[in-house]
Amino acid sequence: MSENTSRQESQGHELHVIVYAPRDPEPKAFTFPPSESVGQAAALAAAEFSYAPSNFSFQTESGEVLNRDLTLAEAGVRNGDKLTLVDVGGGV
Amino acid sequence: MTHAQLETERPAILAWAAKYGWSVGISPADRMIRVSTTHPAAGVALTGLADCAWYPSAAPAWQFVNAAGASARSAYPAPGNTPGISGSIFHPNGLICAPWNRLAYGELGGVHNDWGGIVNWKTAARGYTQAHTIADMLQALMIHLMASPGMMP
Repeated sequence: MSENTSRQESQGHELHVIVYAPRDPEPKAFTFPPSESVGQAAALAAAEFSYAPSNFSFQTESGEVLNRDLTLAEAGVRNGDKLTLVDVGGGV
Repeated sequence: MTHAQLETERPAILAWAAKYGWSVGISPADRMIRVSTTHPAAGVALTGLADCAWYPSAAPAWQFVNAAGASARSAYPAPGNTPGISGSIFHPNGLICAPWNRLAYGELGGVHNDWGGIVNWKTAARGYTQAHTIADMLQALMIHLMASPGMMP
């Protein structure tokens, strides 16, 4: 898929991403609207991996932890991205 | 940690370690997990130990140790900040301050008397870091390690 096509899909159509979770060696495929917030999408993915509700976000392959308050499109998520589920709750 | 629990978690632990290049040793006999990596900012070798004797009924006892095996303050990463995470799990006293570390609980000499007993670790401190499997804990350690500016003095 070309970069232009990928960008176009991330702006108006559904995003297909692969999500990894530390507790499961097998990733899962998800489809989200690009207008979904990172936090909401991560929460939905977390539930599929049987996590209790918490403060989830995604980490990109380059190591960036995405801002939970942005939409997936605003956070730069692209079709086909591989994301890792991360709990961003701080220390106490 | 029971053998059944270990076998359940082993594939995820090893897959996580392979993905991120950490060395992980699992010792069922003494119920210890030993992890090694390099501090990303300081370039210093880090060794973490998790005593899983009562896990998962209670959280593991996580600590960093130096080359001599001592859990000295200087064996710990310094706390750092990163966007999107409210605070570091690395306490300046030399402690992994998280509800998934039983050494953080007041009843075992930690700084938290407000989390209930150590068996409440999966529901304590909601809103802060949560990790209920060993691989989840490794991920949390890595996320906070990425924000650490160096080692504790």
